Amino acid sequence: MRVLDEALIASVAAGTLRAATPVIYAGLGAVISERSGVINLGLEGLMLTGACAAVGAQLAFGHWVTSLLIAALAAGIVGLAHAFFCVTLRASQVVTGLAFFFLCQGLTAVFGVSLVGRPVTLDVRPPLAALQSVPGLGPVLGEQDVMVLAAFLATAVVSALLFRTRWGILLRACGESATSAAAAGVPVRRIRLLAGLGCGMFCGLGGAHLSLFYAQQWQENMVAGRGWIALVMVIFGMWFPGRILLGAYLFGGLATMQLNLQARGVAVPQYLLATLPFAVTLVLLVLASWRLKRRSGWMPADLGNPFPPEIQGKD
Amino acid sequence: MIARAAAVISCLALGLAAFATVIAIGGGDSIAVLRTLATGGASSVYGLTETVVKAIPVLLCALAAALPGRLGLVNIGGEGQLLLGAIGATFAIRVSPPMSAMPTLLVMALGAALAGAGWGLLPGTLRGLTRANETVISLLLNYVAGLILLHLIHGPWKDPASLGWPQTAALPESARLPGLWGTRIHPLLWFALASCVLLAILDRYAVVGMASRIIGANAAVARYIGLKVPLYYAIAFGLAGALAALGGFGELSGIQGRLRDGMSLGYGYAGFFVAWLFRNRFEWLPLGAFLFSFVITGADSLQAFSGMPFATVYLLQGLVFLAILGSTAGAKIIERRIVAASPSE
Repeated sequence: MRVLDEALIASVAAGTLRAATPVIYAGLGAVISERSGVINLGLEGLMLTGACAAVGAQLAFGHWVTSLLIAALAAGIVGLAHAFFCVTLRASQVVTGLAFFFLCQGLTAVFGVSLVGRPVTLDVRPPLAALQSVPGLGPVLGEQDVMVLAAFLATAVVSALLFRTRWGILLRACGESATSAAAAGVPVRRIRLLAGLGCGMFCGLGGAHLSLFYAQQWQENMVAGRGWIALVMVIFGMWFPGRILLGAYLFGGLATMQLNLQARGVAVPQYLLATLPFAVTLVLLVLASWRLKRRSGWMPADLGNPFPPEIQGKD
Repeated sequence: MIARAAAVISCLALGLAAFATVIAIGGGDSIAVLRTLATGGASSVYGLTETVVKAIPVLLCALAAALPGRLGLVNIGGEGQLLLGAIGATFAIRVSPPMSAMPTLLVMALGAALAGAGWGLLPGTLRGLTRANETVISLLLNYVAGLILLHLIHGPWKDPASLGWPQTAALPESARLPGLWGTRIHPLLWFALASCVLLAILDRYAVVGMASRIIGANAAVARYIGLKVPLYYAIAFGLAGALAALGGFGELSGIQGRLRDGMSLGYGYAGFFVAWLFRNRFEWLPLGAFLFSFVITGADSLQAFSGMPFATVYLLQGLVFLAILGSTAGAKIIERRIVAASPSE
């Protein structure tokens, strides 16, 4: 019996790409914000916002580009609000992030009540459908929706923006040493606010992919931990967009393996298998932290600190 | 100080107003929702006792968040630790021979505490050894705990007599915590309050309390003066896990009577919220837990009677978080402006 036939490999590869996509977008958003010095623990909430807004917009207007824009906008506003609290008001980034995690969970649950059980239909063809008959590549890429393919592009664009443009240097300077950046005339607060907006928009797109293309409906709390996994993948990827892609594919692979085994009727404990992506993510986090303990240079040095760094009373 | 308090209270009102607005936009009757949330537990004697019932796990989870909180750590894993407690207690009774009530309950409590302590030790030790972020680990473990619970009640521990319902068989009478005064309030109330008092005393008068405060204020300084910081992290998280887990034991043995989905109405998150709101001060946590338990009871009845999702509680939590963060920061900024504007010597 050949278990590992070609069709299975292709379907696992295709599923991996699909499942990884929301994590990629959220990871890209997180890396923009963290490279500027602001860690956002509310990624999960931002993705929920995007997922909910996308389905709402799709049901209202029926055009997927509009839905994506609205999802990005809605989550972008929340991301900007997070940055406002962390940057302008100088509130604790950990508590603010958790606050937005709670807030968005509740917000999307309340607004999502009327969306539950209403599947969406998309009028979008897979852009690489012409490839479908190509052996090897066809079954993997041919069926993929536009956002899966755009994720590669987005990773390259974010990477280039961060490391090849003036704007990226300024943003990274804010994350490495906000004080030095400010002394050199960089508008630290404005850049961090903009990075928060960008973070929200990318997370919104990730959530939108999940609800519009993957599940094709809204469910309460449907992001199910992917935001937290994306947060870990940023650390695992040492704040480089390309390496985050790698971590996201690992997650996607594990998630797909579980679905594939189930679909093939292999008797596996379904819920136990579902813990696997979380367990692996935990191991990755510990390994990355272990490495960072000795070589902390990978981490943006000013990550998590407010600007200007006044000494504050403990209250 | 008065200005700060005024800022907090006015922003709390602002948060509530924002909450009402969101509910109204979402198509709900915001006045009725607010009234139910505020009085959900107080409308009858039964409601009041139910509020106390729900305050028990909230208080234990608040302790679980406050204990690492004193060391400057964030434990958002109370939810998972509570579930592990329910699982551990169920495991204990499944493997132990039939006994009379007292030993059975003790064995279950022990199983819960051990399981929860183990679950809590994970983020605590990993933080101490590798500086892995304990917030993220404890939160990820919540998802894992939930999935393990689902696995057990859908799989190996499923009660065949439950007609397909995913739950374990009902606990025997000897494994049920008795209700006090003919209500569902169970004796863990005393345990939770006693832990609170004990921790408050230790925090204020014992050497460990002093050491914890130093670590919380500045871990680097604590290391220089010879405190074993990772050990404190591990112990605090282990104890925290055990406390939250006993909350799970209480829900299992005192309330639900069997392991099933929905053991926790967000008690772990509520506990974290209460601990943060009262700045990890143990002596204030019972009050906080009782007050927040009103909101949970209210949200529970909202879900039952008007179809509002239970997550409205999280919405309220988030808004109050932000209101207080905002008002504290806003008051500071205004103070700084006043200082800067006043003529100096």
